Amino acid sequence: MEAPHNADCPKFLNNVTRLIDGTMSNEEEQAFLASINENCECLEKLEIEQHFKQFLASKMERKCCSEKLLHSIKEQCVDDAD
Amino acid sequence: MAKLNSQDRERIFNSEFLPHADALYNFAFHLTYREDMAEDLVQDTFLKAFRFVDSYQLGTNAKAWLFRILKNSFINDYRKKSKQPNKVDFEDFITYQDSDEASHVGHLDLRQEIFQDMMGDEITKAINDLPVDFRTVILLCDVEGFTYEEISKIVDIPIGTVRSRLHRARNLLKEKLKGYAQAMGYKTEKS
Repeated sequence: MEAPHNADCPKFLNNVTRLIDGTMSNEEEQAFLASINENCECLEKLEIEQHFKQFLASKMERKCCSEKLLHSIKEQCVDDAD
Repeated sequence: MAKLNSQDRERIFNSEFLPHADALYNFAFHLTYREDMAEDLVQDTFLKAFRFVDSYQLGTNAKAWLFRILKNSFINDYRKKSKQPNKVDFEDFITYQDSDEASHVGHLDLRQEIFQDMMGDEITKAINDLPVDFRTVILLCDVEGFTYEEISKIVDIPIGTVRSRLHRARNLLKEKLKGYAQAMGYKTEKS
């Protein structure tokens, strides 16, 4: 894989997105990491982006389905089946 | 396709569909911002899933199948009702964002300790303020952990569009969070 010019290069950013979202094959991932291995700016950018993704997932407020709603869904399905 | 008997239908419904109720409700809530609409949307999704359980292939990805049903119900039945006047539609938005594919939003380094104190409310608000099509891919990818391929099937867009939409959505979020951090007096740009 061709080494990126800098951490703002669109090709590099595209690869960062694919890597952090787990869509690269093992071979692609290894080649990409090897290509930026000695580029501190790119390595830092990758780390920042990985952290951003984890940050969103951990901080996002999650809503849960109430027991009342679950009960109502089950009842409606039973009615629907009859 | 063979018709399932009622016991099989109930078993599949309870073991393969219902475990995803919380994830579906969370997605529905962040699409509509309203608890009553989210409840209706989840209820509609499960009823449709139950009615069409014969077309569900056992052992395949039930969660993605349910999310696709919910997304379609939202588009067809709920989107107009939930649309807020201050929200920007994706199609309107994209016309002036399209040339900005490789845009870079400076450095927002959330590794800094100060951001760890940022409230979940602010993150949730920033995500909820995104146009719905951007919000959808962030929720599906970063919150629910779907792959690009699964998101592509759920949302009915090519995989390349999933990736570019995620890229834009994350950049928008960084802008919003950077604005928030700066308003709070935190330094966010690398010197």
